[in-house]
Amino acid sequence: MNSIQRRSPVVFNALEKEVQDRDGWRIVKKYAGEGAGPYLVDLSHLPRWDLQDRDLSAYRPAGVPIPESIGESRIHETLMVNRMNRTQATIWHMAPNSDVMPDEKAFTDIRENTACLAVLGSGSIALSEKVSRLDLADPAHRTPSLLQGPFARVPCQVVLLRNQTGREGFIFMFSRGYAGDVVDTVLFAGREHGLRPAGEDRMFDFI
Amino acid sequence: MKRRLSLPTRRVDLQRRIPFFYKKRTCYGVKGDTIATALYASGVRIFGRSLKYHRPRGLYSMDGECSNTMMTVDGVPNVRTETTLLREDMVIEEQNVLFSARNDLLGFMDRLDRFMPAGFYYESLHKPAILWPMAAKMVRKAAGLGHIDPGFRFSGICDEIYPAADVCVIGGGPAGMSAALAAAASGMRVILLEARPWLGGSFDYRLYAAGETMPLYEQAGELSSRVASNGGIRVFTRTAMVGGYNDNLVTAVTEGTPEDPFDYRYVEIRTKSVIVATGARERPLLFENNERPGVMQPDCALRLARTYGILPGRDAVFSVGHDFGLEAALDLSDLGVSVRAVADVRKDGHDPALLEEIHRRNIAFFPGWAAALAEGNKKVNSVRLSQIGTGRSRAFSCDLLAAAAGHTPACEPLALFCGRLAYNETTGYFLPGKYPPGVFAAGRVLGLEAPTSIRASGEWAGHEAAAFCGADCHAAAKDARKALDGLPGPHAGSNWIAHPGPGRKRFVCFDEDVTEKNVRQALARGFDVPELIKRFTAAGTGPGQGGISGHNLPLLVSALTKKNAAVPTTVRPPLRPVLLSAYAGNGREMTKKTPVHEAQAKQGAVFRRVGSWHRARYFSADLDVTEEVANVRSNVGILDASTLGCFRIFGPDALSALQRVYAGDMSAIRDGRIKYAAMCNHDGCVIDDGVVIRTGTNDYRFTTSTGRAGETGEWIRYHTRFEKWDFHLVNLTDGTGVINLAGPRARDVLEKITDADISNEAFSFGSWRAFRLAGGIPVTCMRLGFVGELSFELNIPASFMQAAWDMLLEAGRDMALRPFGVEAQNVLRLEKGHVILGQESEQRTNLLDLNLGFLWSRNKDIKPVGADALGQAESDPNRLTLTGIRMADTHAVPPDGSVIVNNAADRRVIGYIGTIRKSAAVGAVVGMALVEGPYTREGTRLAIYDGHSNMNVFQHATVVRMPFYDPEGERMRI
Repeated sequence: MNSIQRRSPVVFNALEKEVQDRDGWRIVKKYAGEGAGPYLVDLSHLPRWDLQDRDLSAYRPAGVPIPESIGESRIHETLMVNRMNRTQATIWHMAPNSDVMPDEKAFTDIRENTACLAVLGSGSIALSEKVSRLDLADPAHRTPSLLQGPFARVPCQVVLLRNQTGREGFIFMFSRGYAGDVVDTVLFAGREHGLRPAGEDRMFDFI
Repeated sequence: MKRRLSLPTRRVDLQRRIPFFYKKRTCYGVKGDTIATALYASGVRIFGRSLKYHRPRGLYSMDGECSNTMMTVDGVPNVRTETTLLREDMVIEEQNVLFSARNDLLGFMDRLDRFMPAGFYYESLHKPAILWPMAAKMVRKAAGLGHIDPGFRFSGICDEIYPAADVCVIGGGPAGMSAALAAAASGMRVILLEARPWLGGSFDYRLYAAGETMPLYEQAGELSSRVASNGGIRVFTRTAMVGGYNDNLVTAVTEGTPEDPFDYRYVEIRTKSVIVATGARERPLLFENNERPGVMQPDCALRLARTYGILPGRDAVFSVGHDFGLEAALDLSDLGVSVRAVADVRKDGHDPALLEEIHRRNIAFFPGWAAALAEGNKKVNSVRLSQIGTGRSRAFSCDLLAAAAGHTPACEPLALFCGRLAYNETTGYFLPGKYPPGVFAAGRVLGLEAPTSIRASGEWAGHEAAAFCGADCHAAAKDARKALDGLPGPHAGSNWIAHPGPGRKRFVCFDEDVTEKNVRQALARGFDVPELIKRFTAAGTGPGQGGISGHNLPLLVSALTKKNAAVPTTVRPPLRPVLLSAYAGNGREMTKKTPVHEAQAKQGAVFRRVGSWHRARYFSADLDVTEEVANVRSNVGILDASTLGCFRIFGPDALSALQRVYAGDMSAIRDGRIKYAAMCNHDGCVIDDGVVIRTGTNDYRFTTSTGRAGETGEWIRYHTRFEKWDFHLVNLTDGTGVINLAGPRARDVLEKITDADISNEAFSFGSWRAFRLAGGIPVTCMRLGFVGELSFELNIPASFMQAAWDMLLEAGRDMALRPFGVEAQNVLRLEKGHVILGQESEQRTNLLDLNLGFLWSRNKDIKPVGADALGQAESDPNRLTLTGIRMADTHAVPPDGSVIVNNAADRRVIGYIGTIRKSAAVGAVVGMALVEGPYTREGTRLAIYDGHSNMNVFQHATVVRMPFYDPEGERMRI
């Protein structure tokens, strides 16, 4: 089992500095020359679940209630629950943990279907303007919150973590197959802001 | 040319020289120069030749309002040199010239204007008909602006940005800056767009401030500093608005500097409110040779001197109709230009302080006079001024004629937002009347000239815009309005057009060489309103987008027809010429790649786009894929089929939803078995096919074709929208890697990497099993036979795909396992008679046409989509029907899609080929075609139109039975 390696769809052309094997995934904890931010972090290996039911209030994944309002996100420790619409929510893990997906039919493991990236640090929101019409900079957003729409030209779910200048960050999830082009697009857009690939530790530091 | 050093308004850095190439010689500008100012400083006066008459053209305006100074720069034609920043080593070329701009061998065209009246190309040279193609070629060769090499590729970097704002202020002059500051004070997010490289607008280069102590340029600097330090205002300089659309969508393009990471940036702003503060431009004065090099707008002359330190001429004559013209004459006189005379079309109403200064400097002043003629062959060398009404005239020698009839608002952005213009008797020009909610105007675009009024109007507009966005600043808006009402309003202006005369060389539109005479000709032909005249003469349709002709045309038409002035003609985006590259942004094509894309690339795969995916089509240079096909038929191959759509549907009513969209009976799916199924639209036409399996109670998985996956979710929801069914869908496409292990030795390979019993007895054709491969890789395996051989379709979580792919290749190494691509699959399934939707079908092809009627269950409780249409089509014998064909010639392979005709004399079209390939297994060229029912009988001879040769050459084929290969299907069931 241990010899089988699972692959993230995201590949950064950067020198790995610290690497960890975890459940078959090869996780880069740190890259060389990550710079001072903003950072682009691959979170594709972390669990993500889809939850669909007519009555979402009946579910409390890992003890966290589903937000009532569409577009609302709720973070509990390293678990994030995002209300997508009347009958659907997504649950994202932002750190490795032992949570097993609930054995209820309403849940579907979507980690394999999706790629997940975080953009963290100063300049993140300015970068987002270059690849999306979603207005992450709107000070009226209560963070965290979920926005859905094109980002880097592909359909995405974007969770805005913070948008205050200097303490900015967001995570976005999209169809796995687009990962290569999305990474290229975001890195190209982020050149002027100093965006660099960064290891998973940057996410832990941020949260 | 030596530049003025000590000017507080100067914007160029004289210490930083920038070399560039012009006419194969090295010239120098300075940092901050535009191409046009650098050329002017280098002594260039003739920049190019005009479109039609090849008249010499020079610097006239400074904001690119006409095509006079368009040039080819670094291979890019029609670059507006007035606004394009000079960069090191630019190669600048004249355009629309034969030999040189100074000595253009086509200059004689100017004398042929009698043969080119308005709209001549609509009616001349069209008869006899044979003449026009030749004439059009010659006209196009002689006319037009720059030429682009069809092979030219723009090498610059273009990107894009999509900022959002509460208030977007268009125009960074004093009104715009005041508006931005007022709106930001109410907590609004403000974006300020300015086309020039700096803020300040008309204040930036002016000293004179009527009735105020602080010079205008200092006022601009003070406002600019406040804007820069305001965190609520984002400033985009060098960013010209190009479009305005519904719901206050503003588009603009930023021209990059060498320090920017882009050459052009497309800016798309979604804003709640818009303030148009684009100021005013000078309305051209019409007189004979009014576009001769040496004639320029006073604003242009003043900015050359004040902003760039370049004296526009030695001896100048001014012919103006506004106080700014007097101000410019005085300022240029102070800077060292010898002002020989100032004519003003106004007899009175001048600013007395300016008049006093003119008299104090002993400058000859002619109220009620205007330029009638500019003389000089290629450049102005004298000007004749005439008194309006009497015709008395005087000539002055000069090398500069600064001429303008007055100001006119630059209100095109307002027009894009459906603002209405109305003629104003006081100002003599058009002012904004009504504009939609959320759109406001400020500054000189409202006809204001007094600096205090301009600033106050900006503050008022800023408060109003903020209030519109919900800010609690209605009181501030009211106070600002009150303050504005107490200040001077729009100045009295002049609507004077031209002295009487034929107007043969009075140019209304420089871009299209349209003269006053042309307008008269159009009127004489019955085109009596500006919109019609614009179309007949082309006035205002050039790259200047009506900047020069825009407001003169309706005033001229009014003067000639003695009717009230009609409004200016319709304005459409883009307001400025924009490279298509800029609109395209970084132009990245977003495509999906499968989890083993890179691995296949290393194995020599040639990819083609299928839907949103890249798929490996070939694994060698042999496009007939002979070896790939043979290896599957005789040995074993693997195909990456990860692009197939894959969905989970679950919930109490999941079965009902499946029954609705699939033609077959989904309740008949047995545990462990696979059901092949098809979806139809309301016309009964097949839109998708795939397989369905039941994975649990009220829990199913189904596959779709590659191109259809993106729409399937919506398709199911749409066709169940009136039901209250409880079901849910999850798209698992990207997460499900699929490897088709196919060939007679497929089981031998698979057995090496799994402990599961995959014998035919335990795992038969048409069934599925979930088990694990070595290392614990979970798979859902289906026994399918799309390629007609023993096949295991392994559905694997995407993150394990690479490991599984490598494992299979390793396991099959001693069996010569090798990957095959989509083209090989295409041949294999063709031999087997299996269809690919979109290949063998089109939008009119129904389930029955494809011989798939067995997939339609007529007795379901829930009527499937398309059932009614299928019922009607059942009794139609003439529909196109899927038919196997075999070519008579074993080497002739017509292209897919070739037309099939009957063998009668009329050669009527009776169908077309879907797919046709040379089949080694069959030993012939075989294909599948859709053919009219009466022609599908076995043995029927068909003629196939050979699209590669002429209409009378046909190839022949015979209708044969399908499938071509293994008709009993034994090979799939081993």
